[in-house]
Amino acid sequence: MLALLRHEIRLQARQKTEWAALLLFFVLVVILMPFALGPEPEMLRRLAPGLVWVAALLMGLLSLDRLFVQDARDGTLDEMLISPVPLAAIIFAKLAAHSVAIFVVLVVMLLPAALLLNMDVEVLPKLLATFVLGIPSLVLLGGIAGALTVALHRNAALLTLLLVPFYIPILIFAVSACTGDAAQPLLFLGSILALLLPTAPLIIAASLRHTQE
Amino acid sequence: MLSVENLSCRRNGRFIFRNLGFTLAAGCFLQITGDNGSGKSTLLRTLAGLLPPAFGTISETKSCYIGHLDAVKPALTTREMLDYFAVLQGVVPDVTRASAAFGLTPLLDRPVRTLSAGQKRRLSLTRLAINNAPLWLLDEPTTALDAAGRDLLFAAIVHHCATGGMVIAATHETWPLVDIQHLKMGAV
Repeated sequence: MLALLRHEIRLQARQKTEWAALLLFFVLVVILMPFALGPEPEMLRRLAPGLVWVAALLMGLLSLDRLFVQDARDGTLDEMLISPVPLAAIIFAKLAAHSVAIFVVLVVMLLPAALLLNMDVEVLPKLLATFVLGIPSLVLLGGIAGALTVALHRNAALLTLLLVPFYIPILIFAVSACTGDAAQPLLFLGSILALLLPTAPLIIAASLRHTQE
Repeated sequence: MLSVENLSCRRNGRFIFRNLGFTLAAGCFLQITGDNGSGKSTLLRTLAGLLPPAFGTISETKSCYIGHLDAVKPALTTREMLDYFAVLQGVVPDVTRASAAFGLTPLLDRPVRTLSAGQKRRLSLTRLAINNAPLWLLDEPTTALDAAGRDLLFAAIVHHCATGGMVIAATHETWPLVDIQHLKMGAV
């Protein structure tokens, strides 16, 4: 398991240009917001957590086609399916590494984004907490949609359509944790994660097994 | 020993092949030939357990499947890729021995993205040296290989058969092996 995880993290770390592009995308969304909404500091301060989360969610969506589509294309998926290692464990390692990568990009950009959007300092720890609980859920759900698109031989447009309804609750709880009392929404985020953590890898494994038919 | 009985495979509602049966004793090499689209790859994928058979049985045998795709990641180095193959196959990697099998030792620290198509093919074939499966399933294994690479592959196959392994290969190459069984796939 550790060896798998090390491999997946190494693979993500080697794809720096791809992640840099996503980082740039995130920054761009955050920079454009004040221009679109007007530069009133008070309003930006109020909207900041929501804007950061929307940018993070879009960035996550963009990164998802890397999850299984590439493996299916280069033949790694066959190797995963034949492997004596449980498929769910391989998938878990992949999703964990992907979550870590997104998390790193977000943490790197958090301070600049906070400055640009005039965010309150006390919101930062809350925002970090929502990232910790929310990002893995996004990736786990994204993994299910990604595996389904591979199974159906469809493109990423379908993936996005499938995902957005499931992302909305996560977005709502994450943003309400940042704007109001944090405890309850964070508990909800945690329970979504607790629900997905054991089930999603199994669902993904089952749909990947069907890709071959 | 591998025995296949009454094997039929259906894809998209169409039979690719029907009622195929053969047995392969330890130490034997089976060459599959047939026109494009006659089901050579489908048969190999079915034997590897990647496709469920529509009917029929395949005796349980641990196999190592090398398909058309090399299953390598351009971002990793050769050494890291070999490590990963070993992890996926649940064995402890012996990188030195494995890399020597297909002449990859000088390329160990090169990123896979800088390798040529033939070198990637060698890397892909190195899975055979990492895996200790008795049955090798090879789908056009000589694609992109140079003469030296081909010789290494032949040597590996001869050694594998001599030590009681079995090889099934879909290829139209003439193999310098003495004992070859043939299976010709045709229209259903």
